Amino acid sequence: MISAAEYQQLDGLALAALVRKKEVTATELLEAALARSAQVNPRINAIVTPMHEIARDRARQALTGPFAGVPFLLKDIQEDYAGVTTSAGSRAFRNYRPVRHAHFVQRLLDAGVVVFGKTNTPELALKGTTEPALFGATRNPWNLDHTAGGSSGGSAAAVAAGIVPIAGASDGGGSIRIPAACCGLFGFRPSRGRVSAGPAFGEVWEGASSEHVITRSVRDSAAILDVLQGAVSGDPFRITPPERSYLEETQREPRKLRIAFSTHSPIGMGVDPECVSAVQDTARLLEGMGHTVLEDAPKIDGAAVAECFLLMYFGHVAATVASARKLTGARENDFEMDTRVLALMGRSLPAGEYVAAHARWNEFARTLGEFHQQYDLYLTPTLAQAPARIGSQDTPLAERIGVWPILALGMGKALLRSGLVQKSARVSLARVPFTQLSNITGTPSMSVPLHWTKAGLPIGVHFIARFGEEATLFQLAAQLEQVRPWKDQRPSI
Amino acid sequence: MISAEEYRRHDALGLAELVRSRQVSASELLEAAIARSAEVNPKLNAIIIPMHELARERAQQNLEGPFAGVPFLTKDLFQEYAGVQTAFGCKGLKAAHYKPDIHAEITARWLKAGAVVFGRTNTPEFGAKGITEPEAWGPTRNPWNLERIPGGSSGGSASAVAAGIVPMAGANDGGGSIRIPAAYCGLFGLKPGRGRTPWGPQMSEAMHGAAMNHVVSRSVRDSAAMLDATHGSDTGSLCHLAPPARSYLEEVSRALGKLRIAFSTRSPIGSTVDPEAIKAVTDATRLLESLGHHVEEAEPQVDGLQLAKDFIVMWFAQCAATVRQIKRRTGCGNEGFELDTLAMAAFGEASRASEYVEGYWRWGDYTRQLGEFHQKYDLYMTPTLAHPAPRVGQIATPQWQHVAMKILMALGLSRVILKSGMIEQMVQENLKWVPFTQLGNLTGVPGMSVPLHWTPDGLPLGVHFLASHGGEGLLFQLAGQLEQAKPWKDKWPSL
Repeated sequence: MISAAEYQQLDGLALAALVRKKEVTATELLEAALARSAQVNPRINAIVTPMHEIARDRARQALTGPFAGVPFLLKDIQEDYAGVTTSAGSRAFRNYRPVRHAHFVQRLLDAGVVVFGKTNTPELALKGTTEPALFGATRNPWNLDHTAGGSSGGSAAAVAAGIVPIAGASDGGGSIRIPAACCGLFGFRPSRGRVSAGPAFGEVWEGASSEHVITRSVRDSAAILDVLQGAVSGDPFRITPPERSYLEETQREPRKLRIAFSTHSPIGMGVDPECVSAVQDTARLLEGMGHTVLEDAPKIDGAAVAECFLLMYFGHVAATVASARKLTGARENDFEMDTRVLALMGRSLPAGEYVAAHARWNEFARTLGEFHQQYDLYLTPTLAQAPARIGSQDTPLAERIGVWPILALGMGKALLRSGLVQKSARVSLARVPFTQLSNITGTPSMSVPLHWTKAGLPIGVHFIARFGEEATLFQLAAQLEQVRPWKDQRPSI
Repeated sequence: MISAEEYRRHDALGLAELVRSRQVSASELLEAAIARSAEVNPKLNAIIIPMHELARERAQQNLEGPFAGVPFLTKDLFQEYAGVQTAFGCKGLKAAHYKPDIHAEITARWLKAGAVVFGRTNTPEFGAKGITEPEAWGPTRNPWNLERIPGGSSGGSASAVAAGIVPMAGANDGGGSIRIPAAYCGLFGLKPGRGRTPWGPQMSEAMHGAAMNHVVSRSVRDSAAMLDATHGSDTGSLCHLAPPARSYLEEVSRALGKLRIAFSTRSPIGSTVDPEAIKAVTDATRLLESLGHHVEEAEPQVDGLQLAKDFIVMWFAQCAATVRQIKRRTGCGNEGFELDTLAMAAFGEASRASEYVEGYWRWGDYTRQLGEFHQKYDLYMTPTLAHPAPRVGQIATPQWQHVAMKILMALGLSRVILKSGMIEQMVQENLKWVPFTQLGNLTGVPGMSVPLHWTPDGLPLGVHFLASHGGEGLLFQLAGQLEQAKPWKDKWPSL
């Protein structure tokens, strides 16, 4: 048996070690996770689809792998578990049951995890907060009035509340790093192509989206990436494999790094002084560790990044809405109003303009690539504002811009040209303007929980590395974890 | 000095060896190339932008690299050379005398390999066709028969190599544009896998990675050694591939184990395939069996017609974006573009981002389906071309259709056309000559055309192979084996 306190204190690798040494069984761990879930989930609404029976069956089997017996949660989008709904936070997909596991899920199962549920996400993972109409808001264990961030908000809340040490997440615009920052966790986004999105997808969001996990410990994240990395037959390309295991990297000292930092919002909106001081503190800490830290930023037009990112959104949301019709018979009004507005934009946007916007990604990747010839890492806040209050961002896009008649009349072209949606989206982006650069350039990045506000809410600091250099990030993260440990920072929930 | 005959007999590595051993100078090689060009280019119209003075200066410098001193041509589509006129086969860009101020990364790597670039070769407008007949520069002709097309879009480069002006020339392939002209001209053409060669600094990827830069060449080893010199990402690449296990040049002469090869001669869009194209493949089957490989008839579970439609819709959108960009860059209006291009761009503007994305998603399906197929078979063999080279002008859009397109565009009816069955008709008309190559582009796997067949009329036809991701080395191995078993190096057009 394992006590609740001990279960919540250990990371995934430590729990697996207990199982391996037969000090505890997979079933005991699972029951500890379920007990903790029963205790806190009603308050945080992190898990939306329980899979207890599947999990209990599995926990009794002879499991092998580095995470054999460790309780695990999947994000309820993309991370398909055969036979269990993948709702993507949407009424349109609430009855959609994939017939195959995602490669992501299969590899985790091969590593021995025991999946017992799926976690909340905003509809189609489109937002930096997790408040879908279908399941309601996920709440932040650090303060139940505040958001857990998004789009992997359910997973982050579950990990922060001690239900699991690790949970599945995906990041197309910051969706691993943002909720990790909001919940005081480690959130790591791998390089484009590092983890397969198959078999359901070749690339998600033009390759902007990466699958991985949110964890408490750095080593769990590294060891999970060791399990997940590497293309599967049928993937669109194969990137250079890592030199050595990422877990090993967490035990290696980083070389003396050159790190640039900036605290300015790339879209020219305000940044909370607490988020600024999180970065400044970190800069001092890094200098104290012997790294070279300089204030500098790549010469990238942040507004252009936001605009290109948004046009990609338009196209993909519209295509998803169309695919829902074929896949589940869903109708347009099964989607939330904001989603419908985005879809209308995607149906109004000429393909030629879409392609022209995508071509601009090159500028960003190239400028960041040149910046990275000078600096190993680029440090910024993860969030521009501390986690918002639940509901403070839920004025629907549609309402804000008075879009009802336009939707009804299908006057998408006029709305597109008015720029109203783009402007409104920039308002939403104002809270989280730092993370999309990594997505659009395909580079690896991470949020490290080094700072808590005076009000006791976590905010993270954010690092971007060169393409393919996950190792550098893991080395530094482990070093930071050692000098400024966060494992004993726990919400009082 | 080197005789005209000897110049043509060597491949690029052979010429480089002569330079290295000081039997001939780079300048002498260049003059041999320019002399051959003067002799045949007026008939072929392969080189459209000569760069003789730049090349003569360069040939006098101290050149290094595996191809030091070897005359080379780049294609006038991307592959920018700083300060040299660049037109992409486009009327408006030609009229604007556009000169880029930096090299494309691929050009920089060719130069680093020691190549002496002395001209740019013809391409259809934006490389959008399997023929090379731009209004801006006029048609390129096939050295094997001047009445016939050399294919496209790297038709100028293929024509120049087949005519012996150079042993190897720059090419790129977004729907078959390396492999198609290689096949029409009796050359070796390999399209590397997605991300293998760079597109920077102008682009991160071309056409979502469907299009790749490389060369058409006479010998397999030239293609391999050039890929050794150019592969790998650059600063802004979105794809950073795992590097090859060993040099491609080494692969060419490496002993090859027994391969499992699937083949099909059925057109994926259901169009007819010429008996000669079928014979090219059935002969190759026997040859491969005699070399010890296992060959059987099988096809991947890919909806070829849907793939072709997705390909063409993607082209439209790319074309629309390119037209936008060139109008902005040069200030030219519709007069700067061919009517076919304007029609494609109009379709691209009329189709929606959401439709484009849905089409792009299906690429993922095709890639997975081909990936599953490649778990059973090392290679997938088809004809490269469905028919021997048609006559120059034969595939041009008929005048009545031009008139109709003008009217429809003026009325803003592009979307109506898009939603009618006309796209399928366009697929059939445009791709019936070359329906086999696009699968390699949309799935991003490497593919090659090997010149193993000539028709009784003396027209070359290629045999096409697709490998799985990362399979360039395997393709070079097999090509090396085929080149030895059924050599083509002594086959020359009588031009």
